Amino acid sequence: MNNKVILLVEDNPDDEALTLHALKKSNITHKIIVAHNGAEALDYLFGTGSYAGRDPYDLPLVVLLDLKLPKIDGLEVLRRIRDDERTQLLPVVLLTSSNEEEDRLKGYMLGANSYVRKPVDFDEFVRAAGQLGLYWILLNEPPPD
Amino acid sequence: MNGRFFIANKDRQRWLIIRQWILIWVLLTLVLAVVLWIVHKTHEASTLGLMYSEGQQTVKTASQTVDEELRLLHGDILYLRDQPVLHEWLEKQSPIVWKRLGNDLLAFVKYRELYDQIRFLDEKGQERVRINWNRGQPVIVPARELQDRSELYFVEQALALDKDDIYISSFDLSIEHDAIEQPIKPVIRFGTPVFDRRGQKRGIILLNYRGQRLIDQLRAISRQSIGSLWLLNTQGYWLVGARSEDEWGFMYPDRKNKRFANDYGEAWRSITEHPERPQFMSSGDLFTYGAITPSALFGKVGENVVAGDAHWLLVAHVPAEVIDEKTVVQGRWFAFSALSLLLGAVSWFIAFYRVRRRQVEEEVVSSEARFRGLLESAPDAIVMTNREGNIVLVNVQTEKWFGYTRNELLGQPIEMLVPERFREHHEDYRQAYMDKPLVRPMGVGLYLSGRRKDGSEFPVEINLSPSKIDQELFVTGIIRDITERKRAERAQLEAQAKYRELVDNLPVGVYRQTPTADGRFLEVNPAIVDMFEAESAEQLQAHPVSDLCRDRGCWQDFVDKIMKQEFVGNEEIQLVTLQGREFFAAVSAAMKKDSAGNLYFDGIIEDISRRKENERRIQQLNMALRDRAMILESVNHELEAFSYSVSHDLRAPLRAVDGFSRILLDEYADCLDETGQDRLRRVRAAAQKMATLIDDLLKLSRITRSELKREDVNLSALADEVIEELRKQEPERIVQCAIEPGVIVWGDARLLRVVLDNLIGNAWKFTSKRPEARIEFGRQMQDDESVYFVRDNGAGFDMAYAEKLFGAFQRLHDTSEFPGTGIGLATVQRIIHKHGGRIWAEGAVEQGAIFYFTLEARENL
Repeated sequence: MNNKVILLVEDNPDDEALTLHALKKSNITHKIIVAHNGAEALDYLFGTGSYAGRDPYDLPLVVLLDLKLPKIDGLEVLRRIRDDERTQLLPVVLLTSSNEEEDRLKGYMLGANSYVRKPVDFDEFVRAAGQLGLYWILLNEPPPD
Repeated sequence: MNGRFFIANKDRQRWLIIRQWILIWVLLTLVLAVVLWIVHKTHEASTLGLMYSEGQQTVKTASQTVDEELRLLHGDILYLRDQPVLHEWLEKQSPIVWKRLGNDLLAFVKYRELYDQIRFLDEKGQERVRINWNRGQPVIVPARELQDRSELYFVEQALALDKDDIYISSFDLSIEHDAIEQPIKPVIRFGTPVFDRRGQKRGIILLNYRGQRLIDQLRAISRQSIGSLWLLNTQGYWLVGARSEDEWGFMYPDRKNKRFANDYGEAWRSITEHPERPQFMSSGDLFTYGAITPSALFGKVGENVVAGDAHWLLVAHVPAEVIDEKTVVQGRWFAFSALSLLLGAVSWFIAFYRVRRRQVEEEVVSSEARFRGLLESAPDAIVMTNREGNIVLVNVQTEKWFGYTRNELLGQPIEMLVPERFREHHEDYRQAYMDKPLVRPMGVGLYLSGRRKDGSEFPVEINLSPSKIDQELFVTGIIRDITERKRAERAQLEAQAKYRELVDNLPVGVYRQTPTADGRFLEVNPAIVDMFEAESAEQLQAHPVSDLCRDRGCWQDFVDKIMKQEFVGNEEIQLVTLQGREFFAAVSAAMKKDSAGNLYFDGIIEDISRRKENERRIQQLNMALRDRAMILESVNHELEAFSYSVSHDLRAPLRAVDGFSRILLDEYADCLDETGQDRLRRVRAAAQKMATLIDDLLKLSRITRSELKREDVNLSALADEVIEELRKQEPERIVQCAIEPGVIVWGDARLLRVVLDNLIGNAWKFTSKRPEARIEFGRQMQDDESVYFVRDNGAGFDMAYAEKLFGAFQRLHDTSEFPGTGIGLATVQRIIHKHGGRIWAEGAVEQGAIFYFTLEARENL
């Protein structure tokens, strides 16, 4: 179980640091792979590009996906995840700073499992990350392989 | 009249004819029978009369014959008695004188031809002289053949007579040698005694009269009569009868019953008992009889006639068959049948013509009724006058229009229907018309009036027509009340004038044109004259229409199009005025046909130069507008991209500021003194406030962009929810809330929630310093408009700043006192405006505030 990883897709180093910190503070000890843009995230998931040779069937426990990404944005990454039969059941949680309804709506329509707004207040961020970890990592039973 | 009715009528007519025919025939036949019966009776009476007189005549003739014959005998016997030769012979008894006597008597018998025997018998009954007729060869019977006849009854009787007496024997048959002489010799014997000069009876002269002679004469008479003439003796035996075997019954022992009385008992009784009736009918037979009494024949004084028969009866008998035969008209049944048949034929004709006549009469009656119906149902008044101008006939319409009753009009002069002022002339006109009667309207070109009984007048139109009925001239006037027509004409004229005015005042050109490309205007209105800058309509009409087009071909196309489609609407054609100015026109035209079948176009021409110019301008404006819209759209896009980027990118640094400050405070607190830590906390607070500001700004912009999704919204429920959330956030506060239930409005539920969030949130916030905080939500009516309000008893505001309340980032309170971004009410106002409503506030410092708002009602949307 513990050998499962969490894939965090985040381009902002500040947010990356804060997220990792928040997860750590929430006692989540899983290995966290960070992809800094959409292309990298897809390479990791499908074992392509810099991640060539990686077994695409070894899926992460959950993908924490930022919407606003350079090159391939979060919604596109989500669409591709859901288009591929290997990853179509992969739990994806959208992490975003925006509260735009349109983003939320599109996210859910493309098959996001959850949508979490990153609050400015770090205390709240840590709370949200904790609840997220508790649910998706400790309680949620992933789909069968 | 339809066919079936016609057939039914025909059948009915045939049936009528047959009924009439039978009736008439029966009647006529009855009459015929009566007539024939009368004729028959008359004939019978006259025939009978004839027979009566004929019978009488027969009897009379016979009687006279017998009488004459007997008188002859009477004379003869007296002559022979007194003959000198006889007396000479009686004196001398000489054979010479006897001879002379014989010769004299022979000559007498020979030439007299009346007698069968002449004898002289002496007083002893001895024949002394005898001459026999001997079938026309008289002979003097020789003396030796003379016989004694004294035993014969008639000799005996004659010898017994006195001087001048005459004996007439009964009429019987001559008997010779005790037998009836054959062939029978009917005989009447005459005898008279002969006295000599000394008065001594010397014998008798005896004449045997040849009875056959008389019988032949009677038979001759009988033959000439209708029936038969019989001669009966006193006992009623036939001497002359119908059949020879009936005759002389008393002479034959086997014929004793051959008597008249046996065959005709009734007649015999009548004869014997009623001698006063010489003529009578018995059992249909006619009997006429006369009695000859021999003894009474020669009523000479001194003569005594002794007769063997008391009398003889002459009976003329006409048997019933003969009477019938004579009285009944022969072939009467045939005649009756023939006449009846003839009458049948005649009856048929009578019936036929009667029915025909009746039908004709009925037709006349029905034609009369039709004429009446026509007359009375005519929509016009009809008046007929005679030559003198007196009314002889009017219809009901005349009564109605003129107000007179029929009886008031009939016989009156027609002038009573003419207004007084025209009456005199009318009589003259009437006379003139009578001289030259023609079918024509009356008073052509004149305005004619009729005069009602009450003196009022009304316009009329009159048609006159003469008619000759039985050589008399009548004039029929058909009078039509044209009040309505006059009114209609006036109305039409007015309407025409109105339309003319309308057409003349129309700002568009109206024209009528001959239907060819080079046709002219027939009619134009002033607008068209102005349009073509002509001086007058005539000047314009002088030009072919094609000359007024910039392009002749274009006008030809237009004309062709009308001919094909009959109507062309709003064809844009470039026209040229008479002054040479070009302009755009919209031309519409329709093809029409006048009553004579000639084609023409009616159309309108509209100068659309200005419209064209306006269209061009509108097009320009539209293009400018389109450009602007595009710019606006791109600006909007940019704005959206901007706010999107703001919501993402502006918050990320703030999160970093806050997050790392927090990490510093957590993990590097040892390196910072209390002041340092406070500064870091302030950094975090500022970052968070900015995040709130950004959120509120984004919300405001979202509202601006978002579209309304209207539905029924329960504001009361929303208010309850807001209060509920506020209570959760600050459960320690005690706030009295009064929410009017059931306030339903038509709007966007999400946005209205934002409104109540802000208004009630503000009220909650600004009453935070009140120990008895109170918040109200409700609705009230102001000028028929629903106004919603949120009231509190909080800090209130200075009305001087009421205007600033709804501006973005405008705050009336210190943040330290009441936190807030100053965007809430701006957002509220924007939402209310989007709902077509208004928002305003009332309040005073420390005395609470009331926020009012309205929403556009559903009915007004």
